[in-house]
Amino acid sequence: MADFLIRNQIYIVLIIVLIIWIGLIIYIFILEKKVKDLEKKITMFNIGERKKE
Amino acid sequence: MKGIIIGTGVVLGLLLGLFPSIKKPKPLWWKILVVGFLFITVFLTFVPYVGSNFATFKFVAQNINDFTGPLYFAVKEKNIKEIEGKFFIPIYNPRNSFVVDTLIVESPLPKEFYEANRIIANVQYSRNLDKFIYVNIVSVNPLLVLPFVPQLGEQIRIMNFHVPCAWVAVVAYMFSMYFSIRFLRFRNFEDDDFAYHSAVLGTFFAVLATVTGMIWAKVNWGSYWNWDPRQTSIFVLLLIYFAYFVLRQSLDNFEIKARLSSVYSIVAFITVPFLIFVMPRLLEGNHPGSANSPNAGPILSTQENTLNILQAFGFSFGFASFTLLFFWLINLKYRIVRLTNNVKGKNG
Repeated sequence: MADFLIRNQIYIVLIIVLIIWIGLIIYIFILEKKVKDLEKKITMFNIGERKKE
Repeated sequence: MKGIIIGTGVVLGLLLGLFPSIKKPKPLWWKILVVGFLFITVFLTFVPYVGSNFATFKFVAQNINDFTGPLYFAVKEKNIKEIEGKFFIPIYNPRNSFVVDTLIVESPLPKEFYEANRIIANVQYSRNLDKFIYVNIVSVNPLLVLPFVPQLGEQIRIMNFHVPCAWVAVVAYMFSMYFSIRFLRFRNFEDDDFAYHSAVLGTFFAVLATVTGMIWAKVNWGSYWNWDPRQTSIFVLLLIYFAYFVLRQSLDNFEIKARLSSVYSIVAFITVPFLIFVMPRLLEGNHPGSANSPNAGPILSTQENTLNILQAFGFSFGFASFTLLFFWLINLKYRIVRLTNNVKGKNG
């Protein structure tokens, strides 16, 4: 594996760029989860307000 | 020239990132611009071929036995000579058409030598005979050519992603410090939130730079972790900011937490320029730009040909797009945190 990578160095570049993209995507998923939680909270809050009325 | 191009990328990233404001939602054209910049960076990283100029090739080849590498040269069909089944081809500098040396090609001569003006070919330099021997064709009449940096070769492309990650970490820590100062001055807890999330993003990019650097080190230096000054300094930097998170998590009172962590964040940032820009340049190591490397690294070197214009452009776009991506992410994070605080306030 290491020999293959040393002979075909473009794949190292590919691996490194993919790691950066995967990292960014994980971060975006974390943000997505936070937005979802917020949406849930806001919906619950709205339902509670309507019940009060 | 190189400095101007890279500097433009850095300044453009910072100025556009702060538009219209760090806290306001970004307009649509801004987002399209960021995605466009990222595409250009990926394009300039993967599409061009690496081709060495003659001076670099000969410099490297004279230190290694039977060095084989990609050489970028021009040929003229009328000057090809055949002697005893071998072709002797004068090779020209593609920039100024001066003859630099003669390439020896075993017959049959590939047809590309008749059709093309400029060629990137793998060439072997025999040190004992002082002769250049053709191995195989890489690219014919290439439109874009990346520079060949000794010991890096194809790996020069990683630079467009690895270095901007580290740079974004510095920018993020700087904003963390700025908002900590603002918090201490105005006592607005939004600023404290901003400082915290900026530090989180900075650490995230610092970890990405470290991990990509480790894989690069495995291929180029032999092992993932070498305690090279650059690796040691980023490790210390990560420890300093991990301590910042530990400090925040260990305090319950939100006001004391905000005040103490703001002071810590300001002190922590003082170490950043030394650990990132100064210390690795003072000590001897493997990373480009160390005290024992022949120049100040490919970015700061004043020597000609360490980076060609194309690589400088790719690098500049890398800086601009990663800085803009940071501003986009911190903007999203900030808006989410503000909404969460509002919802919490309404509920309880």
